[in-house]
Amino acid sequence: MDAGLLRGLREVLGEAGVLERKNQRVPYECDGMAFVRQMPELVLLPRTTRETADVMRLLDEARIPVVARGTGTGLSGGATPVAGGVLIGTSRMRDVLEIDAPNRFARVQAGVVNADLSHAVLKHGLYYAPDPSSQKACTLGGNVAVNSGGPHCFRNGTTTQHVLGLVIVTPQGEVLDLSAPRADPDGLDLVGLFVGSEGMFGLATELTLRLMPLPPVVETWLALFRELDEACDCVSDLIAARAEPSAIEILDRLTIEAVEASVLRAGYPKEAGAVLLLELEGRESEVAAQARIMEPIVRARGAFELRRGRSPAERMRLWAGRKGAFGAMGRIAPDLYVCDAVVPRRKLRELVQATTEICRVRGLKLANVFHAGDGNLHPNISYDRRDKGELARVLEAGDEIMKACLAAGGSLSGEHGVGLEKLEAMEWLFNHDDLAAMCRVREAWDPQRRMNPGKLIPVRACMETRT
Amino acid sequence: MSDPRVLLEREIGAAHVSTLGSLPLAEPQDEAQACALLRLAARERWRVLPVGLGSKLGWRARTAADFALTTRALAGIVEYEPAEGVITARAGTTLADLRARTSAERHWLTPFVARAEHATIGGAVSAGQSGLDRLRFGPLRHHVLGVRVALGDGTITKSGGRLVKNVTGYDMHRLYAGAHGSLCLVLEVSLRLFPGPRACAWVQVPGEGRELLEAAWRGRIRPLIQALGRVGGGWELGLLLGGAEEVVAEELALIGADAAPQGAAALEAARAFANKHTPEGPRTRLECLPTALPEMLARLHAGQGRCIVLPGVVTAEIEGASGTSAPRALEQRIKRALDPRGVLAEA
Repeated sequence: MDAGLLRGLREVLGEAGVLERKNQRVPYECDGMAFVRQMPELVLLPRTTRETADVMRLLDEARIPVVARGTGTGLSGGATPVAGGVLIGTSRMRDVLEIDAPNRFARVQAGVVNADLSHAVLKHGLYYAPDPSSQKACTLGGNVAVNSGGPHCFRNGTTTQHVLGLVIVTPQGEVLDLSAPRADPDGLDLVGLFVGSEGMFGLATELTLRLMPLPPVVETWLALFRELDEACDCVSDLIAARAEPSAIEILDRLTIEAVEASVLRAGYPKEAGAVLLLELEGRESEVAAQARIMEPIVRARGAFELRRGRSPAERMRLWAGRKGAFGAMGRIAPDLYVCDAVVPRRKLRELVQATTEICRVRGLKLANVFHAGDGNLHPNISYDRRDKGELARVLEAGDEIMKACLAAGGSLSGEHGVGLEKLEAMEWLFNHDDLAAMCRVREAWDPQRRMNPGKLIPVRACMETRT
Repeated sequence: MSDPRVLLEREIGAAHVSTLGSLPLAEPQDEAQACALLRLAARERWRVLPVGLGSKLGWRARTAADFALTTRALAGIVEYEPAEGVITARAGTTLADLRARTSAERHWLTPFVARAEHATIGGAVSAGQSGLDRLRFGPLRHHVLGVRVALGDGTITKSGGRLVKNVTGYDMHRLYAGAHGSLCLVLEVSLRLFPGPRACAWVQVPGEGRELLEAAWRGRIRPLIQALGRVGGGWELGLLLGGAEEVVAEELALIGADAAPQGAAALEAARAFANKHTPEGPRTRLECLPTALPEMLARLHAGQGRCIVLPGVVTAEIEGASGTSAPRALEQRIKRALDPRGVLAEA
């Protein structure tokens, strides 16, 4: 790296904000997609929008590629560094800047951890709704980059529905202040376009986020089924009956076994082949009315046991298996490949069966934990990354699962994003013209294509827009 | 430059070229014709004004166009599986038709707007039109799951899908929603639907209805619709309560309005309220934070003409044209990126 540039970056960020030594950079060489690694040339940790803009301007002059990173919990390689590039981390941007409880919004820096925001506004009777499974670790800036979901997005919508405004540092180092909370923008919806752009348009440093009032009553249901098919059909029936729970989650048998064998034991009986978790919220009368619609459907689809709880302790116990599922799977094998695909909600059973078969013929261990109400499948394949043959089979299964979902009218990603992981698959879903339009919009933000290069859009598709 | 009308008639037949104000109005009969017209415009260096039924023409100051292109013949429902909760329709389908089809299956279609029989889904999405139900369901752009569009050069592209959750690729449909046809001609839209109410009731009270709005903000009642309309020297509040029978009954009792019209009569009253207060033609939008609602009402209370105010992040729509703020440099770059020849009229 050029000595003059390094000096300039240190002037802006101070010694602590520029990580140059190899041992300092190692933690940044991958995100949650750990089987792909690339050492960044330099790691920069700005504290403010101003500092971010200043370093972006220096990097723009030097034409150095930039990858942004929160805490690296992403699962699609979206924060994997690029060779010869710089990584900008948001870990020193952890301030909640403003809480406007009467108007129900908060302004935060991008590095604030998702769960910390809900914690910070709890005393006002408010919370931040999107709740990705990694919410105790993932940053809100990262959530904006991939438009994160979570169990309660079934009712509340994904991140994009909760972002009222942004401050964006452009690839040229300009500050684009779109932070005022708006209901409907007057010009183009630049904020809506930015959310989910996977760090390729710029770096959001400050976020204006919608807060919601805590519901007066929350009731968690845990329904036990003997067969996964029954649980899937139950969800399709609930959707068809216009039921309105706030979350609809399914755990399959292998997940249940892993949970029960671990310290996270949730007390699931042996005969349970699937767990369906439902949450109802609202006023007493609303919850009661929902329950009256839902219970007969759950029973009719074969639930042999239905546990219900309202107190925080009871609800935590019912959710324990779901929350601990990913940790518990560590018992099955050292590594876990978390697939993410979406299917029409009336085809859940069909596609879950297809994924099971795809893994079975390849001798792979598959555990399903997924946001069933949104049709968002998460086939989790356990493997050992030291076994190259097994890793190849896992990735092949991942591709086959995506193809099966696409064939059924589904899509590649419900909440993890495309990143590096699904780059090639983009051409299965979108044709050249679709991708070219995306490339052109990206170039309007970043003509040099320095922000998170090589992600989301296959290079081929972008090269052709230049001709 | 040649006379558009002659070439337009040659392209799609004289029967499908009429007049809108001072402009020739071309009415393509299918997507292929629509794309052919865009290519023709690109060749002739004409500027096209995309319209549906033309109900929102006064909403924005527009650059001059050489002809208008209406999607009204590109109508019809492409896919509606009630068990899925998603509907896909061609751009020219009216919101009234979509509402009729979906409410028969007990789905709620947002946005709930005035004069839905004169509003197409393509127009509503292009204008980013939210309805009187915005506080409950959020703005329309949150529920556009995917689109197929024709770019200025006649290329058809898609974004998103027909799925309630999907983060594959950039949210181009969010960009197109509210772009007023300046970036593309919307051909087809997929929308998320919500469970329709089993029962509903219409409550209309004179005044600013502060207590009722406060009850709704606090979640003690959860109306489908909340809006304030300006009446001579003041305001009236309209609320459409909806949900399970006992929920609606409980809410009515809570606010002491047990005699309210219910069921179909309630929906009819909501439509009448929307039609009465929503400006027709040129309009201006104002926004403020929820806590500034009283000041907004005080400021607008003595004005003339129709005025509707939606709570939440407060939006007021008043009669009369507004100046459009200059687009940012980035917006101009996006426009040039997607429509380099400037075929589509700028918004």
